[in-house]
Amino acid sequence: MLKKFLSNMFLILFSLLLFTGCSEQKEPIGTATISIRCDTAIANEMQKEEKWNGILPEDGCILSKTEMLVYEGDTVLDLLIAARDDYEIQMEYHGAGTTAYIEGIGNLYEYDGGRWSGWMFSVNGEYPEVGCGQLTLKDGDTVEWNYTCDLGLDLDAGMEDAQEWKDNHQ
Amino acid sequence: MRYFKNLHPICIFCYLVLVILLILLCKDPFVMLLACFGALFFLARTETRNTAIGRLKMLLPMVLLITIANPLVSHKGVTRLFLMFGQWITLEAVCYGITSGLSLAALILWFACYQKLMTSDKFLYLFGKIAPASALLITMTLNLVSKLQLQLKQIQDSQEMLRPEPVGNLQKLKKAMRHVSTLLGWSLENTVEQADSMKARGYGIQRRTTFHLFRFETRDAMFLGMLTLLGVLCLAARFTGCGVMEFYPRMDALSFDGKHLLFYGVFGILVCIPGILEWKEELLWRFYSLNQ
Repeated sequence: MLKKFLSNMFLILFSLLLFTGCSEQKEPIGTATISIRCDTAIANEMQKEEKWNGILPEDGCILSKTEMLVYEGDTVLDLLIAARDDYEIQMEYHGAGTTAYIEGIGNLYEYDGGRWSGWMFSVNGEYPEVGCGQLTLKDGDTVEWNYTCDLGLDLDAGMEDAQEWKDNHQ
Repeated sequence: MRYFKNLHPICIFCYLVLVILLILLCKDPFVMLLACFGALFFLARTETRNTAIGRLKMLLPMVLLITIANPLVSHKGVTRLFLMFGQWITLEAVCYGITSGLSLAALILWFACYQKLMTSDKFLYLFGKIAPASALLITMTLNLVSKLQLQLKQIQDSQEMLRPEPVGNLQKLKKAMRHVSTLLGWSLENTVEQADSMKARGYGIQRRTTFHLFRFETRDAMFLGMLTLLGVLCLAARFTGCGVMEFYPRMDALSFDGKHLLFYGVFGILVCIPGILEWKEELLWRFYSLNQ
């Protein structure tokens, strides 16, 4: 009984390993530009606190505009992960696909800059209404990751109900 | 003669509340090590060696587990060690894991001391008048664990006499199940008996009274005075920046300037008081006859 159970588990594990090994080599479909900035944190003079001294960049630029290869089916999250690996930026996220959420980049985390702070991203200048793990990139896209200290209001992110949300959740 | 146990319950309760509060407020590996040491020092005076080893066997893997688990969950920190599952393991997260593991161990050890020091009669004496129902309920609940352990031991002993030693995992599992079901039946029966007994003794007719022999003596007043002094010193140091380390995004350096050393010293004395008092009594007891 126990042996049968164990051998079943082993089979499942083995087949899982087999399937993960089957992903085919992808070809790049073009390039996308990515930049990571925390200007709003700098504007709030967070870098002058001892805690952040030497961790936050003085000019607010964690990653300047950089061209990176985009592969078929790559999402904004995949691009950020690639940037993290290529340029050794600290980054923490949880979830995948629709639930993917960026907690912090470059050791700057959500809530570090106040209650309404966190990371937001724009594609070609517009802040989309979907998550970063959902949005697929195409050739020539420009992705900007910006830190907000005010629920997107200090970035002109164009979320109409941000102010209303803030007022209702005092 | 057990000196610390014989202090007035209010002294013991205040002392334990202060120490546990300080452990909860602080976030510093040294403070946690001191707290663990103080609790172990006291427990080593009052327990047998086997119980102490059993405690360590449970606590050390727990500290290790938290130390390993924290960096796997949290990836904050500027000092990167290596990549694992696509995310960086950082030194800060490891150190934070060690500190929180030690603080959990310190809390468990101090609650073990609490169980040794604040027996149910003392607890009922302190809170029986203010909140009779909840005090009784809390004592009964806390009593339940040790009572069940005792009963399980009795069941195991008697079953060992009745049945041969089981062979194989399945037989062992069956044996354990039998013990647990016996324990369940027994405790159900106990509940009924306890309720009957309480009713027969007139529980609920009048306010509950307790019998006690506690007297507030000069030594209790002295102890409370010393406790206030040490407690105020510790809390003042805590709220002027001692005993709290920042771990994220960058670890604070361990500072050993005058203020910090004073804080560690005072806290060290505070947590060692029960152990020292017990030790003193033990030495006095041993050498008393020689000095005659």
